[in-house]
Amino acid sequence: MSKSKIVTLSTAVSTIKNGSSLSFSGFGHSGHPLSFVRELIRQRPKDFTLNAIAECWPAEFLVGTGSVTAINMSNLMFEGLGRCRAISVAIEEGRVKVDDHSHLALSLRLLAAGWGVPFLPIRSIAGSDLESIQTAEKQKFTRIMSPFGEGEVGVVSALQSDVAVIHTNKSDSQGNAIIYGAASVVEAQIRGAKSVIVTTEQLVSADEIIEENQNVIVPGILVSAVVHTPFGSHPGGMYKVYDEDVEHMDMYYEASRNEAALAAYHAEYIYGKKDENEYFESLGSEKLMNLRVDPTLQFALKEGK
Amino acid sequence: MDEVMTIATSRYMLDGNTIFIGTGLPMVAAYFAKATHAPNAVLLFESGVLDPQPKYIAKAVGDSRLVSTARRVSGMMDSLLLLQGGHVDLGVLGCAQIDKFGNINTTVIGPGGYAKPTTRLPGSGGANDIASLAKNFLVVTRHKPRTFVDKLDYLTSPGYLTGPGARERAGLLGGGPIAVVTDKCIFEFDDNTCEMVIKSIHPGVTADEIAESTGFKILIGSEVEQTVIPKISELEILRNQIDPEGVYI
Repeated sequence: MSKSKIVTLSTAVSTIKNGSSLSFSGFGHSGHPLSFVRELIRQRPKDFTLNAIAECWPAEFLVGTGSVTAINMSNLMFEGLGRCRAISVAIEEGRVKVDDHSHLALSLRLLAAGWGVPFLPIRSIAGSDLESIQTAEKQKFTRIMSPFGEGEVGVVSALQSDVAVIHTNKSDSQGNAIIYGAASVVEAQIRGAKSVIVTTEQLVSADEIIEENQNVIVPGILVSAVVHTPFGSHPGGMYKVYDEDVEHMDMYYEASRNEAALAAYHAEYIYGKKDENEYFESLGSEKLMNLRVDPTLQFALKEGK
Repeated sequence: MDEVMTIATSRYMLDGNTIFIGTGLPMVAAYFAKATHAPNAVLLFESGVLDPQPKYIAKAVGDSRLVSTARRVSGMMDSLLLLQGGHVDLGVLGCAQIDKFGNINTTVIGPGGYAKPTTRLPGSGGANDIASLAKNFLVVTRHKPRTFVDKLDYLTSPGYLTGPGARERAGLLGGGPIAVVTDKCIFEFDDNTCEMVIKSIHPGVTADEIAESTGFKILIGSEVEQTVIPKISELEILRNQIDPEGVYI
Protein backbone atom coordinates (compact mmCIF):
# COMPACT_ATOMS: atom_id res chain seq x y z
CA MET A 1 0.00 0.00 0.00
CA SER A 2 1.58 3.25 -1.14
CA LYS A 3 1.55 6.22 1.17
CA SER A 4 -1.40 8.59 0.62
CA LYS A 5 -0.66 11.82 -1.25
CA ILE A 6 -3.73 13.56 0.16
CA VAL A 7 -2.89 16.93 1.74
CA THR A 8 -4.84 20.06 2.69
CA LEU A 9 -5.29 22.83 0.15
CA SER A 10 -3.13 25.15 2.20
CA THR A 11 -0.29 22.61 2.33
CA ALA A 12 -0.39 21.96 -1.41
CA VAL A 13 -0.42 25.67 -2.18
CA SER A 14 2.53 26.30 0.16
CA THR A 15 4.76 24.20 -2.12
CA ILE A 16 4.46 26.78 -4.94
CA LYS A 17 7.47 29.09 -4.96
CA ASN A 18 7.89 32.66 -6.16
CA GLY A 19 8.83 32.73 -9.84
CA SER A 20 7.38 29.30 -10.69
CA SER A 21 6.05 28.49 -14.13
CA LEU A 22 2.52 27.13 -13.90
CA SER A 23 -0.19 25.61 -16.01
CA PHE A 24 -3.80 24.88 -15.06
CA SER A 25 -6.52 22.54 -16.31
CA GLY A 26 -9.84 23.73 -17.68
CA PHE A 27 -11.44 25.07 -20.79
CA GLY A 28 -13.98 27.81 -21.47
CA HIS A 29 -15.85 28.22 -18.22
CA SER A 30 -15.29 24.82 -16.68
CA GLY A 31 -12.73 22.55 -15.10
CA HIS A 32 -10.36 25.22 -13.78
CA PRO A 33 -8.85 24.61 -10.29
CA LEU A 34 -10.13 27.92 -8.90
CA SER A 35 -10.21 26.97 -5.21
CA PHE A 36 -6.49 26.31 -5.62
CA VAL A 37 -5.97 29.61 -7.43
CA ARG A 38 -7.82 31.66 -4.79
CA GLU A 39 -5.80 30.02 -2.01
CA LEU A 40 -2.60 30.63 -4.00
CA ILE A 41 -3.46 34.32 -4.21
CA ARG A 42 -4.19 34.44 -0.45
CA GLN A 43 -0.74 33.00 0.31
CA ARG A 44 0.75 35.70 -1.96
CA PRO A 45 3.66 34.13 -3.78
CA LYS A 46 4.20 35.89 -7.11
CA ASP A 47 6.29 36.52 -10.25
CA PHE A 48 4.76 33.53 -11.96
CA THR A 49 5.17 32.61 -15.60
CA LEU A 50 2.01 31.03 -17.00
CA ASN A 51 2.03 28.52 -19.82
CA ALA A 52 -1.59 29.23 -20.64
CA ILE A 53 -3.62 27.50 -23.30
CA ALA A 54 -7.19 27.57 -22.04
CA GLU A 55 -6.84 28.68 -18.41
CA CYS A 56 -8.71 31.96 -18.78
CA TRP A 57 -10.09 32.09 -15.22
CA PRO A 58 -6.87 31.12 -13.37
CA ALA A 59 -4.86 33.52 -15.56
CA GLU A 60 -7.36 36.36 -15.11
CA PHE A 61 -7.40 36.01 -11.31
CA LEU A 62 -3.61 35.67 -11.06
CA VAL A 63 -2.84 38.55 -13.43
CA GLY A 64 -5.55 40.74 -11.86
CA THR A 65 -3.92 40.33 -8.44
CA GLY A 66 -0.45 41.17 -9.76
CA SER A 67 0.91 37.63 -9.37
CA VAL A 68 2.19 37.15 -12.93
CA THR A 69 5.13 38.59 -14.84
CA ALA A 70 5.05 36.61 -18.11
CA ILE A 71 2.64 34.46 -20.13
CA ASN A 72 3.39 32.00 -22.89
CA MET A 73 -0.12 32.02 -24.28
CA SER A 74 -2.32 30.85 -27.11
CA ASN A 75 -5.70 32.35 -26.28
CA LEU A 76 -7.12 34.11 -23.28
CA MET A 77 -10.77 35.11 -23.51
CA PHE A 78 -14.07 34.57 -21.75
CA GLU A 79 -16.27 32.84 -24.27
CA GLY A 80 -19.62 34.56 -24.57
CA LEU A 81 -18.45 37.50 -22.42
CA GLY A 82 -15.45 38.98 -24.22
CA ARG A 83 -11.74 39.48 -23.71
CA CYS A 84 -10.22 38.89 -20.27
CA ARG A 85 -9.97 42.48 -19.10
CA ALA A 86 -7.45 42.26 -16.28
CA ILE A 87 -5.07 40.36 -18.57
CA SER A 88 -5.63 42.67 -21.55
CA VAL A 89 -5.01 45.81 -19.49
CA ALA A 90 -1.88 44.33 -17.88
CA ILE A 91 -0.45 43.56 -21.34
CA GLU A 92 -1.45 46.99 -22.72
CA GLU A 93 0.26 48.67 -19.77
CA GLY A 94 3.37 46.54 -20.18
CA ARG A 95 3.08 44.92 -16.75
CA VAL A 96 3.02 41.40 -18.19
CA LYS A 97 5.27 40.10 -20.98
CA VAL A 98 3.67 37.77 -23.50
CA ASP A 99 4.74 35.40 -26.24
CA ASP A 100 1.86 34.30 -28.48
CA HIS A 101 1.30 30.80 -29.85
CA SER A 102 -1.45 28.89 -31.59
CA HIS A 103 -3.24 26.32 -29.45
CA LEU A 104 -1.53 23.48 -31.30
CA ALA A 105 1.91 25.07 -31.01
CA LEU A 106 1.73 25.59 -27.24
CA SER A 107 0.18 22.15 -26.65
CA LEU A 108 2.94 20.49 -28.65
CA ARG A 109 5.61 22.42 -26.75
CA LEU A 110 4.33 21.04 -23.44
CA LEU A 111 4.02 17.59 -24.96
CA ALA A 112 7.60 17.72 -26.30
CA ALA A 113 8.79 18.44 -22.75
CA GLY A 114 6.62 15.60 -21.48
CA TRP A 115 7.87 13.15 -24.08
CA GLY A 116 11.50 14.05 -23.40
CA VAL A 117 12.24 15.36 -26.90
CA PRO A 118 13.73 18.81 -27.67
CA PHE A 119 11.15 19.71 -30.33
CA LEU A 120 8.16 18.46 -32.31
CA PRO A 121 7.18 19.14 -35.94
CA ILE A 122 4.11 21.28 -36.63
CA ARG A 123 2.30 22.35 -39.81
CA SER A 124 0.76 25.62 -38.62
CA ILE A 125 2.29 28.98 -37.50
CA ALA A 126 4.60 29.34 -40.56
CA GLY A 127 4.14 32.59 -42.46
CA SER A 128 2.26 34.38 -39.67
CA ASP A 129 3.48 36.87 -37.06
CA LEU A 130 3.48 34.01 -34.57
CA GLU A 131 6.61 32.99 -36.47
CA SER A 132 8.10 36.42 -37.18
CA ILE A 133 7.60 37.97 -33.71
CA GLN A 134 9.09 35.86 -30.92
CA THR A 135 9.61 37.59 -27.59
CA ALA A 136 10.48 34.93 -25.01
CA GLU A 137 14.02 33.95 -24.07
CA LYS A 138 13.55 30.49 -25.52
CA GLN A 139 12.66 30.59 -29.22
CA LYS A 140 9.36 28.80 -29.77
CA PHE A 141 9.37 28.06 -33.51
CA THR A 142 11.71 27.66 -36.44
CA ARG A 143 11.82 25.80 -39.74
CA ILE A 144 14.21 22.95 -40.48
CA MET A 145 14.80 20.62 -43.43
CA SER A 146 13.26 17.24 -42.75
CA PRO A 147 16.14 14.80 -42.19
CA PHE A 148 14.10 12.32 -44.23
CA GLY A 149 14.18 14.38 -47.40
CA GLU A 150 10.62 15.69 -47.45
CA GLY A 151 11.49 19.37 -47.58
CA GLU A 152 11.05 22.08 -44.98
CA VAL A 153 8.97 21.61 -41.84
CA GLY A 154 8.17 23.84 -38.85
CA VAL A 155 9.23 22.74 -35.37
CA VAL A 156 8.33 23.99 -31.89
CA SER A 157 10.71 23.78 -28.94
CA ALA A 158 9.93 21.89 -25.72
CA LEU A 159 8.51 24.01 -22.88
CA GLN A 160 8.35 22.67 -19.34
CA SER A 161 6.22 24.01 -16.49
CA ASP A 162 7.34 23.72 -12.88
CA VAL A 163 3.87 22.75 -11.71
CA ALA A 164 0.62 21.73 -13.41
CA VAL A 165 -2.53 22.01 -11.28
CA ILE A 166 -5.33 19.81 -12.56
CA HIS A 167 -8.93 19.77 -11.34
CA THR A 168 -10.66 16.41 -11.68
CA ASN A 169 -13.98 14.70 -11.04
CA LYS A 170 -12.55 11.81 -9.04
CA SER A 171 -9.17 10.83 -7.70
CA ASP A 172 -7.81 8.10 -5.47
CA SER A 173 -5.22 8.80 -2.77
CA GLN A 174 -2.40 8.34 -5.31
CA GLY A 175 -3.70 10.90 -7.81
CA ASN A 176 -5.03 8.44 -10.37
CA ALA A 177 -7.76 10.76 -11.56
CA ILE A 178 -10.74 10.95 -13.90
CA ILE A 179 -12.09 13.97 -15.76
CA TYR A 180 -15.49 13.71 -17.44
CA GLY A 181 -16.36 15.78 -20.48
CA ALA A 182 -13.81 17.61 -22.62
CA ALA A 183 -10.35 17.22 -21.08
CA SER A 184 -8.74 20.23 -22.78
CA VAL A 185 -4.94 19.74 -22.88
CA VAL A 186 -4.49 17.96 -19.56
CA GLU A 187 -2.50 15.10 -21.08
CA ALA A 188 0.15 17.49 -22.40
CA GLN A 189 0.10 19.68 -19.27
CA ILE A 190 0.72 16.85 -16.80
CA ARG A 191 3.49 15.31 -18.87
CA GLY A 192 5.07 18.71 -19.51
CA ALA A 193 5.38 19.65 -15.81
CA LYS A 194 8.05 18.81 -13.22
CA SER A 195 5.31 18.16 -10.68
CA VAL A 196 1.54 17.75 -10.79
CA ILE A 197 -1.01 18.69 -8.13
CA VAL A 198 -4.44 17.09 -8.50
CA THR A 199 -7.47 18.81 -7.00
CA THR A 200 -10.66 16.81 -7.05
CA GLU A 201 -14.41 17.02 -6.54
CA GLN A 202 -14.47 13.59 -4.97
CA LEU A 203 -11.88 11.42 -3.26
CA VAL A 204 -12.66 7.80 -4.06
CA SER A 205 -11.26 4.37 -3.29
CA ALA A 206 -8.78 2.61 -5.54
CA ASP A 207 -11.54 0.11 -6.39
CA GLU A 208 -13.73 2.85 -7.78
CA ILE A 209 -10.87 4.05 -10.00
CA ILE A 210 -10.12 0.49 -11.13
CA GLU A 211 -13.76 0.09 -12.17
CA GLU A 212 -13.31 2.97 -14.62
CA ASN A 213 -9.61 2.60 -15.36
CA GLN A 214 -10.04 3.45 -19.05
CA ASN A 215 -11.20 6.93 -18.02
CA VAL A 216 -8.15 7.68 -15.88
CA ILE A 217 -6.52 10.64 -17.61
CA VAL A 218 -4.02 11.49 -14.86
CA PRO A 219 -1.63 8.63 -14.00
CA GLY A 220 -0.88 8.80 -10.29
CA ILE A 221 2.84 8.21 -10.87
CA LEU A 222 3.10 11.82 -12.13
CA VAL A 223 1.27 13.31 -9.15
CA SER A 224 2.90 14.80 -6.06
CA ALA A 225 -0.19 15.88 -4.10
CA VAL A 226 -3.95 15.30 -4.06
CA VAL A 227 -6.38 17.85 -2.60
CA HIS A 228 -10.12 17.51 -2.01
CA THR A 229 -11.77 20.72 -3.31
CA PRO A 230 -15.53 20.19 -3.84
CA PHE A 231 -17.05 22.92 -6.07
CA GLY A 232 -13.40 23.70 -6.76
CA SER A 233 -14.11 25.22 -10.19
CA HIS A 234 -16.61 27.78 -8.91
CA PRO A 235 -17.68 30.20 -10.45
CA GLY A 236 -16.98 27.93 -13.43
CA GLY A 237 -18.67 24.56 -13.87
CA MET A 238 -17.59 20.92 -13.67
CA TYR A 239 -19.10 18.45 -16.09
CA LYS A 240 -21.55 15.98 -14.50
CA VAL A 241 -21.41 17.81 -11.15
CA TYR A 242 -22.40 21.50 -11.37
CA ASP A 243 -23.04 24.20 -13.91
CA GLU A 244 -21.34 27.52 -14.32
CA ASP A 245 -22.52 30.19 -11.88
CA VAL A 246 -23.53 32.59 -14.62
CA GLU A 247 -24.69 35.24 -12.19
CA HIS A 248 -21.33 35.28 -10.38
CA MET A 249 -19.32 35.23 -13.64
CA ASP A 250 -21.33 38.18 -14.98
CA MET A 251 -20.79 40.02 -11.69
CA TYR A 252 -17.02 39.43 -11.96
CA TYR A 253 -16.97 40.52 -15.59
CA GLU A 254 -18.73 43.79 -14.76
CA ALA A 255 -16.28 44.38 -11.90
CA SER A 256 -13.32 43.78 -14.23
CA ARG A 257 -14.29 46.84 -16.27
CA ASN A 258 -12.66 49.20 -13.77
CA GLU A 259 -9.76 49.05 -11.40
CA ALA A 260 -11.59 49.95 -8.18
CA ALA A 261 -14.40 47.47 -8.75
CA LEU A 262 -11.89 44.76 -9.63
CA ALA A 263 -9.95 45.43 -6.41
CA ALA A 264 -13.23 45.31 -4.49
CA TYR A 265 -14.02 41.90 -6.01
CA HIS A 266 -10.62 40.56 -4.99
CA ALA A 267 -11.04 42.02 -1.49
CA GLU A 268 -14.49 40.50 -1.09
CA TYR A 269 -14.05 37.04 -2.58
CA ILE A 270 -10.36 36.26 -2.26
CA TYR A 271 -8.42 38.27 0.33
CA GLY A 272 -11.50 38.84 2.51
CA LYS A 273 -12.05 35.11 3.04
CA LYS A 274 -9.76 33.26 5.42
CA ASP A 275 -9.94 30.11 3.27
CA GLU A 276 -12.16 28.26 0.81
CA ASN A 277 -14.53 27.09 3.55
CA GLU A 278 -15.31 30.69 4.32
CA TYR A 279 -15.66 31.46 0.59
CA PHE A 280 -18.27 28.74 0.12
CA GLU A 281 -20.05 29.56 3.40
CA SER A 282 -20.52 33.08 2.14
CA LEU A 283 -22.10 31.81 -1.08
CA GLY A 284 -24.56 29.66 0.84
CA SER A 285 -25.63 26.07 0.31
CA GLU A 286 -28.84 26.95 -1.53
CA LYS A 287 -26.84 28.71 -4.22
CA LEU A 288 -24.50 25.75 -4.60
CA MET A 289 -27.29 23.16 -4.63
CA ASN A 290 -29.05 25.03 -7.41
CA LEU A 291 -25.92 24.73 -9.56
CA ARG A 292 -25.92 20.92 -9.29
CA VAL A 293 -26.64 19.34 -12.66
CA ASP A 294 -29.63 17.24 -13.55
CA PRO A 295 -28.24 13.68 -13.84
CA THR A 296 -29.96 13.06 -17.18
CA LEU A 297 -29.51 16.41 -18.92
CA GLN A 298 -26.05 17.07 -17.40
CA PHE A 299 -26.89 20.70 -16.83
CA ALA A 300 -28.67 22.59 -14.05
CA LEU A 301 -32.32 23.39 -14.46
CA LYS A 302 -32.14 26.57 -12.40
CA GLU A 303 -29.04 28.05 -13.90
CA GLY A 304 -26.99 30.41 -11.77
CA LYS A 305 -29.82 31.26 -9.40
CA MET B 1 -29.16 41.06 -41.67
CA ASP B 2 -27.94 38.45 -39.13
CA GLU B 3 -30.32 36.00 -40.75
CA VAL B 4 -28.99 36.75 -44.25
CA MET B 5 -25.41 36.28 -42.94
CA THR B 6 -26.28 33.06 -41.15
CA ILE B 7 -27.97 31.47 -44.13
CA ALA B 8 -25.27 32.72 -46.54
CA THR B 9 -22.64 31.14 -44.26
CA SER B 10 -24.55 27.87 -44.13
CA ARG B 11 -24.51 27.59 -47.94
CA TYR B 12 -20.75 27.01 -47.84
CA MET B 13 -21.28 24.04 -45.52
CA LEU B 14 -21.77 21.02 -47.71
CA ASP B 15 -23.37 17.68 -46.96
CA GLY B 16 -20.80 15.25 -45.64
CA ASN B 17 -18.30 17.97 -44.69
CA THR B 18 -16.38 17.83 -41.44
CA ILE B 19 -16.58 21.40 -40.16
CA PHE B 20 -14.32 22.88 -37.47
CA ILE B 21 -16.32 25.50 -35.69
CA GLY B 22 -16.78 27.73 -32.64
CA THR B 23 -19.86 29.21 -31.01
CA GLY B 24 -21.90 32.20 -32.13
CA LEU B 25 -23.35 32.82 -35.55
CA PRO B 26 -21.26 30.10 -37.30
CA MET B 27 -22.69 27.48 -34.95
CA VAL B 28 -26.23 28.59 -35.77
CA ALA B 29 -25.31 28.48 -39.47
CA ALA B 30 -23.99 24.94 -39.09
CA TYR B 31 -27.09 23.76 -37.24
CA PHE B 32 -29.19 25.35 -39.97
CA ALA B 33 -27.13 23.55 -42.65
CA LYS B 34 -27.64 20.25 -40.83
CA ALA B 35 -31.39 20.87 -40.59
CA THR B 36 -31.66 21.63 -44.31
CA HIS B 37 -29.18 20.85 -47.10
CA ALA B 38 -26.34 19.18 -45.15
CA PRO B 39 -27.82 16.60 -42.73
CA ASN B 40 -24.60 14.58 -42.83
CA ALA B 41 -22.25 17.41 -41.95
CA VAL B 42 -20.20 16.64 -38.83
CA LEU B 43 -19.15 19.39 -36.45
CA LEU B 44 -15.83 19.37 -34.64
CA PHE B 45 -15.04 21.81 -31.84
CA GLU B 46 -11.70 22.93 -30.44
CA SER B 47 -12.72 21.50 -27.07
CA GLY B 48 -12.64 17.95 -28.48
CA VAL B 49 -16.41 17.72 -28.94
CA LEU B 50 -17.20 15.75 -32.11
CA ASP B 51 -20.58 15.50 -33.80
CA PRO B 52 -22.96 16.94 -31.17
CA GLN B 53 -26.66 16.84 -31.91
CA PRO B 54 -28.10 20.30 -32.56
CA LYS B 55 -30.48 20.10 -29.63
CA TYR B 56 -29.41 23.15 -27.68
CA ILE B 57 -27.59 26.33 -28.68
CA ALA B 58 -24.41 26.22 -26.61
CA LYS B 59 -22.78 29.36 -25.29
CA ALA B 60 -19.27 27.92 -25.12
CA VAL B 61 -17.41 25.17 -26.98
CA GLY B 62 -16.80 23.27 -23.73
CA ASP B 63 -20.44 23.74 -22.70
CA SER B 64 -22.20 20.76 -21.10
CA ARG B 65 -24.97 21.25 -23.67
CA LEU B 66 -22.52 20.27 -26.39
CA VAL B 67 -20.65 17.60 -24.47
CA SER B 68 -23.77 15.74 -23.37
CA THR B 69 -25.01 15.13 -26.95
CA ALA B 70 -21.68 14.46 -28.74
CA ARG B 71 -20.71 11.15 -30.36
CA ARG B 72 -17.18 11.53 -29.04
CA VAL B 73 -15.55 13.80 -26.50
CA SER B 74 -11.77 14.00 -26.21
CA GLY B 75 -9.58 17.05 -25.78
CA MET B 76 -8.06 19.93 -27.65
CA MET B 77 -4.98 18.16 -28.99
CA ASP B 78 -7.14 15.46 -30.52
CA SER B 79 -9.23 18.01 -32.45
CA LEU B 80 -6.20 20.00 -33.56
CA LEU B 81 -4.31 16.91 -34.68
CA LEU B 82 -7.35 15.71 -36.66
CA LEU B 83 -7.10 19.11 -38.31
CA GLN B 84 -3.38 18.75 -38.98
CA GLY B 85 -4.01 15.25 -40.32
CA GLY B 86 -6.10 16.79 -43.10
CA HIS B 87 -9.49 15.55 -41.87
CA VAL B 88 -11.28 18.90 -41.75
CA ASP B 89 -13.04 20.21 -44.87
CA LEU B 90 -14.06 23.63 -43.64
CA GLY B 91 -13.11 25.94 -40.79
CA VAL B 92 -15.05 29.06 -39.83
CA LEU B 93 -13.28 32.06 -38.29
CA GLY B 94 -14.08 35.56 -37.10
CA CYS B 95 -11.66 38.49 -37.07
CA ALA B 96 -10.87 41.91 -35.64
CA GLN B 97 -8.96 42.91 -38.79
CA ILE B 98 -8.74 41.33 -42.24
CA ASP B 99 -6.77 42.39 -45.32
CA LYS B 100 -7.42 41.86 -49.05
CA PHE B 101 -5.63 38.49 -49.03
CA GLY B 102 -7.86 37.21 -46.21
CA ASN B 103 -5.11 37.39 -43.57
CA ILE B 104 -6.59 37.83 -40.10
CA ASN B 105 -5.66 39.66 -36.93
CA THR B 106 -7.15 38.64 -33.56
CA THR B 107 -4.14 39.53 -31.41
CA VAL B 108 -3.39 43.26 -31.02
CA ILE B 109 -4.75 46.58 -32.31
CA GLY B 110 -2.87 49.87 -32.50
CA PRO B 111 0.10 51.62 -34.09
CA GLY B 112 2.43 50.31 -31.36
CA GLY B 113 1.98 46.79 -32.76
CA TYR B 114 2.73 43.71 -30.70
CA ALA B 115 5.13 45.40 -28.29
CA LYS B 116 2.82 48.25 -27.23
CA PRO B 117 -0.76 47.43 -28.18
CA THR B 118 -3.54 49.96 -27.74
CA THR B 119 -5.98 47.06 -27.42
CA ARG B 120 -4.92 43.54 -26.54
CA LEU B 121 -7.25 40.91 -28.04
CA PRO B 122 -7.56 37.20 -27.13
CA GLY B 123 -4.92 35.91 -29.58
CA SER B 124 -4.87 32.97 -31.98
CA GLY B 125 -6.31 30.12 -30.02
CA GLY B 126 -6.94 27.50 -32.66
CA ALA B 127 -7.49 30.11 -35.40
CA ASN B 128 -3.95 29.99 -36.83
CA ASP B 129 -4.14 26.19 -36.85
CA ILE B 130 -7.50 26.23 -38.64
CA ALA B 131 -6.38 28.85 -41.20
CA SER B 132 -3.16 26.93 -41.84
CA LEU B 133 -4.58 23.41 -41.94
CA ALA B 134 -8.27 23.14 -42.85
CA LYS B 135 -8.84 22.24 -46.51
CA ASN B 136 -10.61 25.61 -46.72
CA PHE B 137 -11.94 28.25 -44.38
CA LEU B 138 -14.63 30.90 -44.24
CA VAL B 139 -14.48 34.24 -42.44
CA VAL B 140 -17.66 35.69 -40.95
CA THR B 141 -17.53 39.29 -39.70
CA ARG B 142 -19.31 42.64 -39.45
CA HIS B 143 -18.32 45.00 -42.24
CA LYS B 144 -16.57 48.04 -40.76
CA PRO B 145 -13.71 50.22 -42.06
CA ARG B 146 -11.66 49.39 -38.96
CA THR B 147 -12.08 45.68 -39.74
CA PHE B 148 -11.30 45.65 -43.48
CA VAL B 149 -7.86 47.24 -43.44
CA ASP B 150 -5.06 47.86 -45.90
CA LYS B 151 -2.45 46.68 -43.41
CA LEU B 152 -2.98 44.45 -40.39
CA ASP B 153 -1.52 45.49 -37.03
CA TYR B 154 -0.54 41.81 -36.57
CA LEU B 155 -0.96 38.74 -38.78
CA THR B 156 -2.43 36.06 -36.49
CA SER B 157 -3.88 33.62 -39.02
CA PRO B 158 -2.79 33.18 -42.64
CA GLY B 159 -5.07 33.91 -45.57
CA TYR B 160 -3.09 34.02 -48.83
CA LEU B 161 -0.24 35.85 -46.97
CA THR B 162 1.48 38.07 -49.58
CA GLY B 163 -0.38 36.63 -52.57
CA PRO B 164 -0.08 33.80 -55.09
CA GLY B 165 2.26 30.99 -54.05
CA ALA B 166 2.94 32.36 -50.55
CA ARG B 167 1.00 29.69 -48.66
CA GLU B 168 2.83 26.98 -50.56
CA ARG B 169 6.20 28.59 -49.82
CA ALA B 170 5.32 28.64 -46.11
CA GLY B 171 4.49 24.93 -46.33
CA LEU B 172 0.86 25.36 -45.28
CA LEU B 173 -1.23 22.29 -46.02
CA GLY B 174 -4.67 23.92 -46.12
CA GLY B 175 -6.12 25.64 -49.18
CA GLY B 176 -6.82 29.02 -47.56
CA PRO B 177 -9.94 31.19 -47.37
CA ILE B 178 -12.78 30.62 -49.85
CA ALA B 179 -15.15 33.39 -48.80
CA VAL B 180 -15.76 36.27 -46.41
CA VAL B 181 -19.39 36.71 -45.34
CA THR B 182 -20.26 40.15 -43.92
CA ASP B 183 -23.46 42.01 -43.09
CA LYS B 184 -23.15 43.85 -46.41
CA CYS B 185 -21.84 41.37 -48.97
CA ILE B 186 -20.02 38.14 -49.73
CA PHE B 187 -16.43 38.17 -50.98
CA GLU B 188 -14.71 35.27 -52.67
CA PHE B 189 -11.04 35.18 -53.77
CA ASP B 190 -9.65 35.58 -57.30
CA ASP B 191 -7.88 32.39 -58.44
CA ASN B 192 -4.98 34.32 -60.03
CA THR B 193 -4.38 37.26 -57.71
CA CYS B 194 -5.71 35.71 -54.44
CA GLU B 195 -7.44 39.03 -53.75
CA MET B 196 -10.90 39.45 -52.27
CA VAL B 197 -13.58 40.12 -54.90
CA ILE B 198 -17.25 40.90 -54.23
CA LYS B 199 -19.35 37.93 -55.29
CA SER B 200 -22.75 39.16 -54.13
CA ILE B 201 -24.25 42.19 -52.40
CA HIS B 202 -26.97 41.85 -49.77
CA PRO B 203 -30.42 43.32 -50.56
CA GLY B 204 -30.63 47.04 -49.77
CA VAL B 205 -26.85 47.56 -49.76
CA THR B 206 -24.97 49.56 -52.45
CA ALA B 207 -21.44 49.10 -53.79
CA ASP B 208 -20.61 52.65 -52.60
CA GLU B 209 -21.62 51.75 -49.09
CA ILE B 210 -19.30 48.74 -49.20
CA ALA B 211 -16.44 50.87 -50.56
CA GLU B 212 -16.91 53.31 -47.65
CA SER B 213 -16.75 50.47 -45.15
CA THR B 214 -13.65 48.87 -46.63
CA GLY B 215 -10.13 50.15 -45.95
CA PHE B 216 -8.73 48.79 -49.23
CA LYS B 217 -9.91 49.27 -52.80
CA ILE B 218 -12.84 46.94 -53.40
CA LEU B 219 -12.92 44.72 -56.46
CA ILE B 220 -16.32 43.83 -57.88
CA GLY B 221 -16.68 40.55 -59.71
CA SER B 222 -17.87 40.60 -63.31
CA GLU B 223 -20.82 38.42 -62.40
CA VAL B 224 -21.74 40.18 -59.15
CA GLU B 225 -25.29 39.48 -58.07
CA GLN B 226 -27.67 40.18 -55.24
CA THR B 227 -27.28 37.79 -52.31
CA VAL B 228 -30.16 35.31 -52.34
CA ILE B 229 -32.81 36.43 -49.88
CA PRO B 230 -33.68 33.73 -47.32
CA LYS B 231 -37.00 32.03 -48.03
CA ILE B 232 -39.83 32.31 -45.51
CA SER B 233 -39.55 28.56 -44.91
CA GLU B 234 -35.82 28.93 -44.18
CA LEU B 235 -36.42 31.78 -41.75
CA GLU B 236 -39.06 29.71 -39.97
CA ILE B 237 -36.57 26.90 -39.43
CA LEU B 238 -33.95 29.36 -38.19
CA ARG B 239 -36.29 31.23 -35.83
CA ASN B 240 -38.47 28.42 -34.52
CA GLN B 241 -36.29 25.34 -34.66
CA ILE B 242 -32.60 26.30 -34.47
CA ASP B 243 -32.46 29.33 -32.19
CA PRO B 244 -35.94 29.81 -30.70
CA GLU B 245 -34.60 31.63 -27.65
CA GLY B 246 -32.74 34.10 -29.84
CA VAL B 247 -29.38 33.37 -28.23
CA TYR B 248 -27.48 34.50 -31.32
CA ILE B 249 -29.95 35.57 -33.99
